[in-house]
Amino acid sequence: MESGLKIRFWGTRLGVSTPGKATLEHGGNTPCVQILSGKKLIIIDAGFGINALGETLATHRGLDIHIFFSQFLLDRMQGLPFFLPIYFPENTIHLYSPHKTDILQKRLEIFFDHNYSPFEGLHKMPANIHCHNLTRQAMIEGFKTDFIEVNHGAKMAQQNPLAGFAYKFTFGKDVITVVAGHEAIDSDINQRLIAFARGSTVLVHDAAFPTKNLQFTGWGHSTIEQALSNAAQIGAGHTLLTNYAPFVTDAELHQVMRRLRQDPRFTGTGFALAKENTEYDVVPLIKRAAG
Amino acid sequence: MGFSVKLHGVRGSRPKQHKDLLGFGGNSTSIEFKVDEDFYLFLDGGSGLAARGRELTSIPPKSEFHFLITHTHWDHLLGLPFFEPFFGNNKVVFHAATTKKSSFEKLFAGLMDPAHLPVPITEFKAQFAFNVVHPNVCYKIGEHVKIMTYQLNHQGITLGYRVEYKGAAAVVITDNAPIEKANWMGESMQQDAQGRGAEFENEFNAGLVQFLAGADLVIFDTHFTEATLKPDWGHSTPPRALAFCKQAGAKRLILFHHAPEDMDPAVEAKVKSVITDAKAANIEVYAAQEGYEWKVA
Repeated sequence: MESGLKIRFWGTRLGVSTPGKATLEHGGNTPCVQILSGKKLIIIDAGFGINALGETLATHRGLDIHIFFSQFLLDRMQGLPFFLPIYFPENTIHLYSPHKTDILQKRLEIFFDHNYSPFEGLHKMPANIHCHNLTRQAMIEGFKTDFIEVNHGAKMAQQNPLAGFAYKFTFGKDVITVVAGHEAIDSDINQRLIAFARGSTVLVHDAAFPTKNLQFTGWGHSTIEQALSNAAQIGAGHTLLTNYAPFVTDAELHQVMRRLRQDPRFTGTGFALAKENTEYDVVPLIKRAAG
Repeated sequence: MGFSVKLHGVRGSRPKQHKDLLGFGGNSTSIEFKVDEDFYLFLDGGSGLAARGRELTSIPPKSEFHFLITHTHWDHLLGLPFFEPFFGNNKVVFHAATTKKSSFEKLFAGLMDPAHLPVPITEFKAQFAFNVVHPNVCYKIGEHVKIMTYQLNHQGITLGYRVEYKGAAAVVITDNAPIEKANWMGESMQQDAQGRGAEFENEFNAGLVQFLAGADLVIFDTHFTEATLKPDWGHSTPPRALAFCKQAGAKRLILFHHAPEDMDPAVEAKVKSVITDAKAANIEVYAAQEGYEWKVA
């Protein structure tokens, strides 16, 4: 029985978009992930990737759209003004984070601020906008939704007390955990995340840096190897790596993957580098991993 | 060496990665004026600036940077926090207008707010300085680079820049809606117009012609075509850009600020739409292409 659950990556690039041939396969738009089940859809982060997602909904009206923010960093929010459904008053857009709604709104407002944009404020946009403060598990669009704090980096934490979050969406017996920004170093917070995500059908994990010597430590992001180490401990059915640092090319990613595919620590699980504009069916992913 | 203009980002509104637009490029506005001086000269800081910063690193050959800022919409700023020379002990001067509500210094601080910056603020070791510029001024950076400004018709205050060096002139008009028959004016322009209607329109258009006069290279906003033009969005079209260049006796026109919706063939079509008229006026016309460097002098 196919669950029909799909994951689609619309933006896989951290920090700043990197349009160009060197990043064409794995993507150059800032982060945006979509989880779909039939007509129900959940969006995680609103980087520039969300624009192309919005184009698929451009002719629909009366939409209820649910967007979860993993962090309130520029690259996770900057696409929202270019999300076409926000231009129609018949649509409702629900914005979620475990932070208080006034924080959520304040952080998003800079993209609708008259000084930085042609807009007059988030709530002046035509769609109905509702900000939600997630405080515990909730049923949203038929997904049981849960969250946990992640490690947003020792250096980042000094300047930014706003935690980052991973989300877990359970639909029937499938569990998708999205760890969009997290520095997976050995720590209590990482152990709690592993326990939270244990047994995920599909794990989406931050893999910003190809190797340790290219890692900016304390910036709140993982190497591919750290992400796979987490995936192994989580026992994920399949892992999709994403959110690459701006300097990383497709060729560099492939080179690292060739090495890691031979690594005995990771041979037991299925994993792949997420590709932008690519849809992954959850059930076949798992079958392939098991086979 | 000499004087050239390199395009690091040519896209309007936002950067976009897409396989069908890479011929002209998907990065948002970033332009570099290459001069034989002991500083670098950039215009705006869209996403195209990030890759240029990786070439320069935090220890670039020259340690002084000047940025001409046209206006503070996100597509013109979002590459700044990722420009590696800012991570080194370099000197950076922003030349920008002050809007009615806020100085560029304040808006830059807003951009670099640690609460939303994806980079640790402690990485920024450069010294930042701010030079407030007004419309219609003329001044020099260093001894030899002459800068002139002109206020454009866009939201807030938006400046066009004319850079003169080694006897040649390059003019950049990133965002500018046509002003004609009282169609639409940005709020700063409305203030200047003070209800003078047609008189102000003529004055503005004549002023722009003068600003472009005899330029060797004109980079001009052609976000729209005549068919797609939305005047209140603050952007122009190829025929409008060409008309100004003709009157100004400019030599080369580079169509710029490509709409994110426009794939490579649509950009090519914009050039085709004006090439015959341009030839007749002895003006070369091209579409702005990311990575291309135009020799000016």
